[in-house]
Amino acid sequence: MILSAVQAMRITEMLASAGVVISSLEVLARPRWLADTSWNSWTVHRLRYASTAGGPVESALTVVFAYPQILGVVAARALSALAILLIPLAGPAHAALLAVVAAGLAVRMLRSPYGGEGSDQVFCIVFVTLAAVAAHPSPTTIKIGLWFIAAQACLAYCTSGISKIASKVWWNGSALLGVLRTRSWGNPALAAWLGRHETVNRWTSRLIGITEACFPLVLLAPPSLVTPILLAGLLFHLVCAAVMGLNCFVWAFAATYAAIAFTALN
Amino acid sequence: MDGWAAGLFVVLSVWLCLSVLVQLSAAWPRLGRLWRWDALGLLPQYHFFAPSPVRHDYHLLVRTYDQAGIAGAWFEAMGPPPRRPWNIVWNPDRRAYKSLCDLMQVVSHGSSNSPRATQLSLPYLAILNYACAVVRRDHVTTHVQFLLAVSHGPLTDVPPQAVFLSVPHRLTNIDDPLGRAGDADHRDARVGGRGDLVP
Repeated sequence: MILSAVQAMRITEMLASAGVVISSLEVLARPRWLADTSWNSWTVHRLRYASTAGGPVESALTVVFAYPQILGVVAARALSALAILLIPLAGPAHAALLAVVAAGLAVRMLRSPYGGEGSDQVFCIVFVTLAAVAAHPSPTTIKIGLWFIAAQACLAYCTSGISKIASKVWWNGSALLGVLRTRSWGNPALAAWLGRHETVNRWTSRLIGITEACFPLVLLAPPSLVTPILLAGLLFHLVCAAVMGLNCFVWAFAATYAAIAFTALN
Repeated sequence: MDGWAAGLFVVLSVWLCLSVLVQLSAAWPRLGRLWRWDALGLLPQYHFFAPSPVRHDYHLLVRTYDQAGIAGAWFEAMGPPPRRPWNIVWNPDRRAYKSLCDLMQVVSHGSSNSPRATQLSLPYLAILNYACAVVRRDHVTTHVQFLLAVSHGPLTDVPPQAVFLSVPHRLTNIDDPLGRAGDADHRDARVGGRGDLVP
């Protein structure tokens, strides 16, 4: 597989943009959860910091974070990501759109730290990096950006894997079964089957942790193995999306795969 | 390497080092202090469902009291959204429920030794804000109370358990313009086991 740095960067931003469009539309599809009558009310969450609870900072942030203005921020993020996805741009317009998406993702955390998930973190890291590279694109900055995104993805898999291997409940399989039994993140049919096959459940749980922890070895793998490893990773996230409903993880981590492929093959 | 590339290399290298350090906060809790300075969420938390994932569903139940002090029936204001086949590509209910779960997790793990601090915590106030909004306001409804409960999925015989019961909070009504939500005593109850719901 031959992948230039520019191609890898474009694939990364396209997949990440698709994910941000979906996650932003999911927020806009349920606007009342950002309203003042919700647990996500800015009126309440502005009390998190003394500086945002009152005074000029609070006044300035309220213009953007209060309901329904916050929906405008999410819509701007979605439209910018859609433009990046559909139109191959360059120059200041490209950098500006990437910056809008990056800022739109970062302010979510500033408004409220509750409710975020791993895909939000990865999207934020990817878009801040893409925006910084696009501000001054050159072969060197593009390679630095791809290297950083690949390193963050490997750190994510490795941390998650080691945490699971070191966890007693993941090693004996009860964590996997417990999660799959919930209505929130589970799948009753799969949980029932794994409950009847304890050995399969235990080793599935262990293999998830071991495989995640070993994922960074992809950077050292022979070129012929890089694509199969990344396809296996993609399959893992698709299974998680089907079983657990974690749909945005697919886009977030797939977006990093082009960077990983470039770094591993060069 | 030009100036911008060199600067980018330094900034991203520092960012990566800090990202590695915060992952070690499970072993060295002091490193978790780095998150206090991270208002924009740039330092990731990559432990995804580990070391001990939440293995239950959270439910928020709400009830009201009338002027005679008689409690109404509990009703579920929020629980796990039903899963649909299309959630593999489109799952808008996940995000709102996750944020409420995060808040409920903080409240239910609050210190039982300082109920006043729990009542003034942001997660408590956020849940109370929603509880006040979902109850029917009329001239006989005077107080609102919420209960956090957990269930363990459709395959288990373990009954749902109450994990946190708020005190009743006075509602602001039209004929009580000086009343303030949050005017309550300090006896929140953290309940365990099968759930003794006596405040």
